[in-house]
Amino acid sequence: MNDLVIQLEALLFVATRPMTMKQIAAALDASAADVSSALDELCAMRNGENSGIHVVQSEEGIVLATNPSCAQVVQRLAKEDVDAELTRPSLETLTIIAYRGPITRPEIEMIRGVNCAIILRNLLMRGLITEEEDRMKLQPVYALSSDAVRHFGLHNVTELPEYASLHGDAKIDALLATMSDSAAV
Amino acid sequence: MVLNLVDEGNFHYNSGMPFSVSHDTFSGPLALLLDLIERQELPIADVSLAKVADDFLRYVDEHNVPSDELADFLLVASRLIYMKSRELMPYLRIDEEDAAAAKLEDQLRLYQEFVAVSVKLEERYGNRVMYRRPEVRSVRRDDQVSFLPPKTLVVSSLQETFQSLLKRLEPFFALQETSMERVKSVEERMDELKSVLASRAGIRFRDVVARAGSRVEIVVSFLALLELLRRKHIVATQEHHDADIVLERV
Repeated sequence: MNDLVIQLEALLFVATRPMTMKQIAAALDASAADVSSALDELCAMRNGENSGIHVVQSEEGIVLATNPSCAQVVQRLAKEDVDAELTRPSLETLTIIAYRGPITRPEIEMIRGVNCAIILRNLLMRGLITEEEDRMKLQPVYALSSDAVRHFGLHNVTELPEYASLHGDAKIDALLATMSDSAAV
Repeated sequence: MVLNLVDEGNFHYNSGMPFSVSHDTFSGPLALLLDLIERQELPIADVSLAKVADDFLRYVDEHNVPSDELADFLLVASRLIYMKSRELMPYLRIDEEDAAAAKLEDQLRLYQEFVAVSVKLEERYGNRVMYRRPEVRSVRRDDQVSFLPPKTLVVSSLQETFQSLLKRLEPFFALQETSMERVKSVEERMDELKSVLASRAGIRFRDVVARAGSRVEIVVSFLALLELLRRKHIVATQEHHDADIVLERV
């Protein structure tokens, strides 16, 4: 097995926060492409039913986490608060961000039909979403945090049901574009 | 009220089975609209939207819609009223409004898809959690008291920090001290308010107008407040009738 894969796994084990591809590449002194394929290999190796440790990817970065099927057992020891209460508006907003993230606030509001400033602030405070400046869109974009992805028992947002059709749907994109043309409020 | 206008006179039609608005609170106009349509098992189409227009309006009338959502509810309400009027008077059409109404249909369908998938997401939440290694903080022993300043700390850095703090407070002082020779425009006042709220969590309206030289200045400040509210840049609260108005950044 590739040295890089082994080093990557060791690095992620020690890291206390999700690591971005950039940080990993710097630490391993490797190219982005090499890190990417090492990551793919690591995921193939770990993200199955025979491994207790899995790899979780999000906009925030990569992190090692427990096999979701072990949740009940691990929970007894885990020091993490998983707040399982989500109000309907929060859930809807989180869903939109999960499927269409990174996404701007106006785009979220167009899909939900109502402003979500307070909900976004709430979700940010609870660490369920991340906020980053997007240079292309010149406004903040929101995505699921690493914590949220893990709490949903996912390795990646792409594992969400019907992800492909809701995320990359050209029809939705076109609709959002036309809706922004006539945004009255 | 608009509801009476439309129902007055000869414009009655049978909207099917009698339907009463539930007392659930809805997270936005689309949620309400979707509920009304699905309860009557109607498809998402112009005709259905026109049918539920009255129910929608009645909901807005009878419930306390939170003030920050009201504008969104009213926007949808206006679209529904137009669609209903189109059913009653098909010869009266406004192209712009037609386009907007068609978008409402599409928007509702899109929203419905997300609601459907959010149910699946809800099932997953907290159910097969993937825990990560907890962050371990070093524990300091209680009997060891020590002074551990950062290595780069110098007297001048304290001075610099204090000076930059004073600089951050400058806009706040400026807001109070301005003896306006000419009256500032509402736009200028809005910019001032925004920059103050950028560095402070909240501010009372009375502070904003504390050094106002004339009644006109107070009015300008108040207009600036209203416009910022409309644009949803700020939130204003007032505990009771004569209490302070507190402004906070959104």
